Amino acid sequence: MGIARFGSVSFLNARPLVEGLGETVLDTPAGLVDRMRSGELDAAVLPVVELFARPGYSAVRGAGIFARRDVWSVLLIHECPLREIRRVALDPASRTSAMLVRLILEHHERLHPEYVPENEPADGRLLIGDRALEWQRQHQGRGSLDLGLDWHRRYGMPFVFAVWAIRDGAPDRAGIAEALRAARRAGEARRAEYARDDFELEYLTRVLAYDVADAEIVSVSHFQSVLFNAGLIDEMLELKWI
Amino acid sequence: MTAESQVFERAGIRDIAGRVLASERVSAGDGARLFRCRDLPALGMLADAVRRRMNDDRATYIRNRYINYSNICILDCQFCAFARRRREPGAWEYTLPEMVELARKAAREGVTELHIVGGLHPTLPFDYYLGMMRELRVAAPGVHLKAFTAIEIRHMAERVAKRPIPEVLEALRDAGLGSLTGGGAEIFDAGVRDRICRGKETAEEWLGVHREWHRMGGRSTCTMLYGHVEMAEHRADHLCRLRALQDETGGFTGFIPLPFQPEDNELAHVRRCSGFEDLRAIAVSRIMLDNVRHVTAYWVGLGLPMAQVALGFGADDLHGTIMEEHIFHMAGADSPQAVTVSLLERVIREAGKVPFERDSHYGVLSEGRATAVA
Repeated sequence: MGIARFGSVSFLNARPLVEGLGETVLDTPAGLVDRMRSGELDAAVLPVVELFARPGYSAVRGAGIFARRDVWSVLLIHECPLREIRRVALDPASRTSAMLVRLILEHHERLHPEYVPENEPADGRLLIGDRALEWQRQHQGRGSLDLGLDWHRRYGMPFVFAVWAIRDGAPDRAGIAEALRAARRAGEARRAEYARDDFELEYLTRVLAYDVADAEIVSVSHFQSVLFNAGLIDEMLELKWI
Repeated sequence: MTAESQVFERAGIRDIAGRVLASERVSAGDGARLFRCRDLPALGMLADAVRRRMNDDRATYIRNRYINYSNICILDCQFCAFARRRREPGAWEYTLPEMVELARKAAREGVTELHIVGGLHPTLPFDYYLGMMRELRVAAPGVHLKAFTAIEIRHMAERVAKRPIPEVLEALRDAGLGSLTGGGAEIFDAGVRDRICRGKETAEEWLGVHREWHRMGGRSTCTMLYGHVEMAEHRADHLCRLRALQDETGGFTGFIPLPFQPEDNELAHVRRCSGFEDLRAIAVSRIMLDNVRHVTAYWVGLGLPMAQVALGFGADDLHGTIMEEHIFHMAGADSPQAVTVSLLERVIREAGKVPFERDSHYGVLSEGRATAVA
């Protein structure tokens, strides 16, 4: 493998994916999408909805971030009952989570809220990453909808938020995929070191998981099909796994 | 020995039950043993444990409407009372404007899925099917189009459009097809097929269409037609083949066992199978199909009372509100043509489960939505 350019998410939850990879650009999910599209990176931890939006990637088996049930760090904070939400502020850093919010509200709940930028007044607010995790630590689920749990309740499946994806033109893609799986294995073994306390340790070990296998791949495909049939994505791109 | 294992011991399935409860897979041989087991409560207990593990205590239904666009068919399946030749009395085909009207009405009534199947029509052009998808999508926006069996897809590919199956599926999807229906599987065994539906597509051909659809990211359901001439081994083999494809693709959302209805068809000498057989089919399917999340008790075929009881024998879904079903009714099913949401919910609650409306992907829609849409 030559020197590949890697990008990962700057949140605690992605730490186990980059162990031993060397220099890695850290950015938000939305920022990583831009960097991959511009060709700046060879591989990045991409929001799964980017796989539905553009061809030209292979997703890496065995290296991604998924929630077995609840996720803790992707929350729709709501001040009124969910069914009364009229305005939702989306976190500009998010991609998959923003799509999942739309799916829940528009398809499952048949609501048609207005989506507004982050700092505008709203009665629902999507929070992701470390900010959401802090909210979860303080509120323990009160006043928020955990989007991982919501998916699990509806479909009985894990939910994959992001996966390592390799650009089609990158050199030695099989070698890169193997290196990314090795990084995940190494990172998983060191989760106790990344966690600052028991709460974070539980988050990184019991709540989240990283070894994206058959059940998770089916869930990604299921999510894509549900989004397509709900009219939230325009085409069904073939997903490639390496 | 616990009371539970005594039950399984008496039923002669203690070894299988032990493996199932340890989440191990049931082999074809063991599946055939289960299909021969006469201790229905024991089978039900085991199936119920699997159902609970996979679906908790919820049971679902969908607001759907059937449209059988035509019963004109070039095949002569011995079990079928639905099909007619083109000029035969009782033959029909809907025009697209007629279908659009049905779809509009369904959308106004809050239906979320149109379930559309027909015969293998000798002359309708491919544009009829594409136009159907396009126009229904416009007439009923947001309503999921669940349409066509694998058999109809192959018919379109080979005889109508004369294009490869992936192209046909792609074109239908572009036009609005949401998911494939599960019909036409019957029993996969070639010998049985030869006796009940000679000339129909083979097991591999049926599976091939679903495999291709799943590869494209699509979802579908799967079925088994039981209670005619098949043996326990044939059923177990059928479920194993479905399970193997599901291992490969994960694209089946639910399984729907269909009881053969013996009126007005060439197998009319066969008796309608018993309630015992219906519940055993539900239970053993639930036990064997460890990778298909949902088992539907199809009330049109079973009758609503039996479908309700099936919720205690492994089923976790009652299918839909329906309206104007023809295929089973022409073969003698005496269930009503439609049921209301409130009846389905009452039936589910009475069976001790929590009712939820679902979407076409078996995803739970929210409580309270029913009243919001009604």
